[in-house]
Amino acid sequence: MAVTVQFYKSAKDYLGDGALNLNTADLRMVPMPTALAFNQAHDFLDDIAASEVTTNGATRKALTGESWALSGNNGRFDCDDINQTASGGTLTFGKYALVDYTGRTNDTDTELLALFDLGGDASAPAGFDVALQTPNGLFELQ
Amino acid sequence: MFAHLARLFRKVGPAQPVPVPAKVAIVPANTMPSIDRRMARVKRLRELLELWPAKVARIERKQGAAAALTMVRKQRRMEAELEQHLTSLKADFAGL
Repeated sequence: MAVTVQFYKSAKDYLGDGALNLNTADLRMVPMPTALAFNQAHDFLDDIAASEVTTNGATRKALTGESWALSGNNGRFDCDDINQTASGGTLTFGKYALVDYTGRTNDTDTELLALFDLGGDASAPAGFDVALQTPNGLFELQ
Repeated sequence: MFAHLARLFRKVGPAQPVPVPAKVAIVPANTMPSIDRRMARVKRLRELLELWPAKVARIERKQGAAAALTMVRKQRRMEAELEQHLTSLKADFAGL
């Protein structure tokens, strides 16, 4: 399935003024339902937290192996694959919200950076992972 | 008037979704990435470690020593990850 992304205004703001360092920030992916619509008026996680998918093993996943560096002429954000392991039933979700946990105290001050659309519902039975694989990075600035 | 409004809406309208290189797959839990994936990661880590000293120097110049130190710590983590992948790949190739 083709994955697409839309960036929230917070990401555009903080990338410019240096508040967001993609090499060192504590970034997390929050599983969300396919039905969640991108809304530029959302700026913190509490704006969408009520929709968060939390059943059958779904958790907020901390990104690992992050780096922001050139790949050819493009700026590339790399990270390890993001795996959600299903347990106790079929795990289904269709979007991931990328949030910045750096300096966070709760959802009301956790900045929303981007919404990744997985291209529809991704479902894994118990014992399997929904894997967002990143062999060529998670996203690029071209 | 309408043409002006149309231009304005194009300007301030919502950004369209942009395709990214990441892909979704359903895989058995707790499986180690394939040899191909780990070799690709080794290649990328080597590229990053080559770029890193210049990046650290630039960050130290622009943001100061504390920010540069964070980047150096990141470099150490990438070196450790590279070592880990090389060790696991050597073990896999030895078993072939």
